[in-house]
Amino acid sequence: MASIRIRARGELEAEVMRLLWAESQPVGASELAQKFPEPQPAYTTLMTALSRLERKGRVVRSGDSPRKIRFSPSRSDEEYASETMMTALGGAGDRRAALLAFAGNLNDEDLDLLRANFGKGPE
Amino acid sequence: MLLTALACVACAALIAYFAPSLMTVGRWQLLHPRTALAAWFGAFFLGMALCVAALMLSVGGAVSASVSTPVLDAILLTLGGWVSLALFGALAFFVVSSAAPVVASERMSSATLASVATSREEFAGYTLVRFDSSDEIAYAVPGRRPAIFLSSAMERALTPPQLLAVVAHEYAHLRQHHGFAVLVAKINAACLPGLNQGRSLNRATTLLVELAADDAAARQVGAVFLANALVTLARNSGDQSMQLRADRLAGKQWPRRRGIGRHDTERKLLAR
Repeated sequence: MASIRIRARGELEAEVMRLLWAESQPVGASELAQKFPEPQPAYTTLMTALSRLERKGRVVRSGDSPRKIRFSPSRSDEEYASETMMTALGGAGDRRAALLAFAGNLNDEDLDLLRANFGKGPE
Repeated sequence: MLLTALACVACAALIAYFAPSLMTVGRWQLLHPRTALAAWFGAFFLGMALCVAALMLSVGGAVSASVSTPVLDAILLTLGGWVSLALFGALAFFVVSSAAPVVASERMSSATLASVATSREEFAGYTLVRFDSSDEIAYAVPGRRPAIFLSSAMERALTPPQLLAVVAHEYAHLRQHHGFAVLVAKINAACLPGLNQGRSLNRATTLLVELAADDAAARQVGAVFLANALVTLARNSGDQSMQLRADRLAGKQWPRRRGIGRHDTERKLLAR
């Protein structure tokens, strides 16, 4: 009996995005399915994932008839990576415990203390 | 035994009350941040040790009460033991509930940040992860696999020796376990809401870890490179704290540096 590989939650969407980023032109769902490594997802499963990505604003749909519908990523992988990074960094103050950033950790009281003892101010 | 336990609690309370005032006299803590950090945490852990000793003494006293113990003493010892255990339970619950969001946040941010890397390079003690961003960002992520993240804009803005100084600053955070210190101070502040003691340790830790990492990087790479990196980044971002950190470095005496580029890590970073 052939084994069925079950993708982890969100894995299909991540693979769809990786394949779309690799393409220079918009691609249709059938064509995209061919680019998947085995096991290829069913057409309907892929359309569901693409519709979900479209709702999230990560994919743009183009084409004037159902047979000619093509999909392309709304942002490049670099733009998306940068945005994700900024979201992760701009979150809660609790994250300071995990991330020791080079700048932006000192508050106004710290600045006053440093200014009173060492401050020359910008030239 | 109960009296000794009460004495331990009194000593812990005295340390908590006087330590913040004593630590912030003069500007010695700004000139010697690592020593100051050790003093703050020495006082903190001494206070904790005294509380644990008081707990053990009061529970030990309650357990050792026997038939021959006078009735009033036996009641006091038993009551002391139960009160101590109740306080310990409440404290443990508070610590665990305060730590949970911080730890969850650490896991989430590490996973998110690791997924956006454009390159990874292994060095002794950490992984250097580069990512694309138009913002000048560098930070360290402590943990089982410590990493230093550098944005492309940061690499473009600085010269190789200045960049090396920034990496040395972040590496000092990892080597001196600043992530753990910040975490302990944050949980302590959450356990003492509204009290100056919790806030003082938290505030001192945030400032002192930055200054201690600056000093370590200045000794390792050269104060001039770190100060110049701070001035450049302050100019680009308008963040005055970096200008003040540069002023502090410029006002200190530094031992003569033996020249950068001797270590493998330095050579690799300078070669860019």
